[in-house]
Order: sequence, then structure tokens, then C-alpha cells
Amino acid sequence: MNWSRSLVLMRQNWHLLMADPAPIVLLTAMPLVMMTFLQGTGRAVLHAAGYPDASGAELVVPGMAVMFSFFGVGFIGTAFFSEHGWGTWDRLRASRAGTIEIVLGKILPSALLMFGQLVLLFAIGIGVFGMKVSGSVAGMIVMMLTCVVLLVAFSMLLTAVLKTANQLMAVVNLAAMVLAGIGGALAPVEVLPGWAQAIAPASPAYWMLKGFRAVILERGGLDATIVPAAMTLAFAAGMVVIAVWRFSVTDEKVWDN
Amino acid sequence: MLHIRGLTKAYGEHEVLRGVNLEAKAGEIVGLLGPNGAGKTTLVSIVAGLRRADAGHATVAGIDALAHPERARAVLGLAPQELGIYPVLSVEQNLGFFAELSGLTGKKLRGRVANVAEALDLTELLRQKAGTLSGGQKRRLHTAMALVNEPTVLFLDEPTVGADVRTRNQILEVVRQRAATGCAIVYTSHYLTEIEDLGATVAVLEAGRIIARGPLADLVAEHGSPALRLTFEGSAPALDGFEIAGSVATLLTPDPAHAAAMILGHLNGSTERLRSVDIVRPSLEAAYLALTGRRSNEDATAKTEEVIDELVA
Ligand SMILES: Nc1ncnc2c1ncn2[C@@H]1O[C@H](COP(=O)(O)OP(=O)(O)O)[C@@H](O)[C@H]1O
Ligand SMILES: [Mg+2]
Repeated sequence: MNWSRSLVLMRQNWHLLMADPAPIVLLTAMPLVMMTFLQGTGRAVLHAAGYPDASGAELVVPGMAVMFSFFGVGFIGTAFFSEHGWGTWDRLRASRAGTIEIVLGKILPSALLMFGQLVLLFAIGIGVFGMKVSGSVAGMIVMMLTCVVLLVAFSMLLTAVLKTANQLMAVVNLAAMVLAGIGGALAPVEVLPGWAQAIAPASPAYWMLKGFRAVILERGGLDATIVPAAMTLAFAAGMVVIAVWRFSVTDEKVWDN
Repeated sequence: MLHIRGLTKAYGEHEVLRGVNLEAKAGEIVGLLGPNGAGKTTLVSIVAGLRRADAGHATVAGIDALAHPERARAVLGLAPQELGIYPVLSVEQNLGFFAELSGLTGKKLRGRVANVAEALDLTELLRQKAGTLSGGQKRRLHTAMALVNEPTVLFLDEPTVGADVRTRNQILEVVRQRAATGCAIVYTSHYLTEIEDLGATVAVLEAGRIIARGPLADLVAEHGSPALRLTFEGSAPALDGFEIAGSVATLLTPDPAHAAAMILGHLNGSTERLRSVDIVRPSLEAAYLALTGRRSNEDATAKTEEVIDELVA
């Protein structure tokens, strides 16, 4: 592991990400549009759920932030798949860069971008949509970092298991809607149908949103994020284990389209 | 510089390499020939650490490339068979990235990028996005990217596929220059004339083994037969012992002049249509075909086209 080479790889991948900023802009603009449309509904839902002072942003801002952060999983996967499309993957591997350096070089710039997306969405949520954080701000930051770890792990899993960029985009889109939806991104879990409530904890988004809700709506301190953060990290660990296992057994064919 | 011993590789049941031995000295260009699917790319990829061998040894510049691929990569250069460039980055960024990965920084890095760009006529294009280059320019960039780390062992896997004449000549020139500085080069190609132009030694890979290896002249002398070639207007008549491909009749014979004297009086009705009589010197192509024992339709077609071109010109 050579740090200056890792840095070269990270900078390279940053350039590649920035070469086409359209998806990044889209994934930030879309949730803001959705927040605008959904805030009224959010307010009604929260009032009914027993939060009379809520502006609605307390539901829709974390909900949309988490849902659209899942779409960001596509960045890391695409970063790997496009190297195959460009024919540069073999060149990279034949260079002095080691596998870990290459993987870190792909992951860290995207992770930074994912973190930036969350920070920006919550900042706009507070500044523009009037979201109030009733509990610990440190807890907010812990949950955002935890989310990024989960998303990176999920990216690694999908990249290792899937064979083509099209599969990747399909799974990412589906996962974003289903995992985030069932986890309470569109409506709090307690107003979902019974069967959905029963399986909600199987979605990592459930724990992510539970953590945000604790510090945003329920005046939770840093300690209130311990269980949600730990559960999210447990999902991440499971994903990484599967990713590494799949990655090693399938050897050179993992990246073939 | 390069020693390969007993290399074997199977994809599932399909044995592609069955004990390949190959050596290349410093400054030597090895023309690695073999029909499609012979395993040339597999061989090159294994030594470059991209695929795993099932058995065997390979060392580059004294480093065990199979046990320590990460160390071998420091002295290795590879231009893969498939074009590999970052289309969204500039030519300079493409070259600079691989120069940086090899550990260069600052002035040295800029100097190296400038040198390589100069050698492959890319200087004017440094600021241009690689995706907007022409096919030939992309091929030049692709090859240049394998040179920025100044490897001591260089693998070029069909570097001139789809390249125009100018690009091809520039690449050949750079290959000769690199060899002159002591770099050992393995050059795979389907264009036998390139191997001749490069003054390369030849290694023929077939059925998983190197079936012929040595200086070009020796292989040609040993396996290449001279030939008599008659070209007709319209299709060539059936002539005893000749191989017919369109308008061309070819006879492999150790003494084509004598054969010509014999046959020309016996063309009967076809005499009128005879357009040219050529004695074909033993060539790498003839030796290669004799060695690999196959003449695909493609080759025959290419030959015919060549003949037509000559006629038109
Ligand atoms: N990843 C792979 N999986 C399975 N078979 C492969 C793979 N790569 C190459 N082959 C097979 O191995 C043989 C040799 O291929 P290759 O090394 O590309 O030959 P060449 O470069 O000489 O044309 C071919 O029959 C090809 O189909
Ligand atoms: Mg090949």
C-alpha cells in the first residue's frame, strides 16, 4: 500500500467523476424537488403521528436524503464498470497500482461525494425547508458517516456480484425505492401496512432513518444513535464480507461484462 | 530479460497453453505469431499479472513475475490488445496518469510525457480529449501509455490493429527505438510484414506450444518455400499441383524458374488470359503458413486483393 499512488488514483477518479457532473447535479436537485412537493404531506403525516410542531421537513428531508443517497451507489459501481468499458481496467492492473489502492482510489472520491450530498441536502433542509434538529448535531454527523459506510459497502457488493452496468443501474434503482421506501423514507414505518412494518428492520434504510429520526424529531442525544448506527454498520459488514468472498472466488472474470 | 518456462493455462476444460517456453534478450524484439485463439493474449496477460497460470515460471528482469507480480509491474509495460484509454480525459492526462502511477513526479513526469508524446506524434494533441481523437491517434496514445514508465520488458499485443499506414510506421519506429535502448519487446501481430520490418526474431505459438523459434532468416530458410505465381484475367484455370485462389494460381516449389519454363508452354487455351508470371521469394508468410499448416479463406482473399491492387497500380 503506497499512499502517494493511492492519492494519484483518487485524484484520477475525482477527475473522472467530475468529467460528467450531470448525474451528481441530478441526484442533488431531484430530492430537493421531491422535498418541495412532499413537505405538506409530511406535515400532515407527522401531525397525525403526534408531532404537532413539525414542519414536515423532519420527515421528508431525511427521507429523501436517504432515498437519493442510495442512488449514489451507482457512482462507485459505474466507476468500476466504466474502466471495463474503456478497456483501462487491465492497464490499471498491469500498472504498479495494487488492488487495494485501485479499490480505495475508486471508493474514496465517491464516498466524499456521497457525504457531500447528504451534508448539502440536510443543510438545505434546515436552511430552506425549516427542518429543526431537536437532538444531537453530533448524532446527525455520526448517522451521515454511517450512511456513507453502508452505501460504500452496498456498492462493493453490487460491483462484485453483478456483471454489467445495466444490471447495476436496475438494481440500484430498485434498491433505492424498495429499501428506502420500506425503511420509512416516504412515510414513517408506523403508518405503513402491517406486513411492511414487519419486514422493515430487514432494510438498512430503516436503521438509517431511525437514527436520523431519533436526533431530528425525538430530541435524542449521541447515545440515541448507537443502536441504529451499529445495526447499519452490521449490514455494511455483511455486505463487505459477501463482496470480498465473491470477489476472490470469481477471480479475473468478476469484471467482465 | 524475459524467461518463460513450462507455462500452462486452461480455461475450464479448454487447455490454451500447454507448456510454453520463451526467452527474450535485452534489446530483442520477439514477433509472437499464431492463429487467432492460439493463446497469445493469454500468454502476455499471464506474464503481466492479469491472469493466473496453472503451472510454470516466468521472470522479467530477474523478478519472478508469477510469485511477485507487484514487483514485476515496476519493470513491465503492456499495451493490451483492446484499446484502453480514458476518453473523457485529455491525451496529456492519460499519459500523465500512468507516468504518475509509475512513481514519476514534477519535472521528470512532464519530461517523460513530452518525450513519449513526441515519439508518437501526439505533441499537438496533448490538450485534446482522447475520446475525440481519430482511430489512428487513439492507437498511438494507447501504445504511448505503455511506454511512459520506460519498461525494460514491453508487451505490445497487436498494437497496429486497425491503424492507418502512418500510424503503423510510427509505432514500428518507436518499437525499434525502444529495442535499441535495451528493452526486450514481445510484439504480437497478424501482419507478418511488420515482423519483417522490425527485424524481429520469431516465435510461433500454436496448439499451446511454441512450435518454432529463432531468427527470421533461419525460419524462412527452413520452412519457407519459394513459389511460382501465375495471374490470369478472370479465374485461373485448374493446373496440376497449383493452388487456385480466384485469378491467381500458386505452385510451391524449390525451383520456380524451372517450373515456369515447364508450365508456360502448356497453358493451351488459357495462354491468352495470362497477365503476369511472378517468382515469389521465400517469405515469413510462406514459412508461417507451412508451419501452422493452414491457409484460411481470409488469407486467400487478402492475397487476391493484393494481386488485384498490383494489377490496378
Ligand atoms: N477469459 C476467458 N475465458 C474462457 N476462455 C478464454 C478466455 N480468454 C480467452 N479464452 C480462450 O482461450 C483461447 C486463447 O485466446 P487468446 O489468448 O485471446 O488467443 P489469441 O490472443 O492468440 O487470439 C481462445 O480459444 C479463447 O476463446
Ligand atoms: Mg489476442
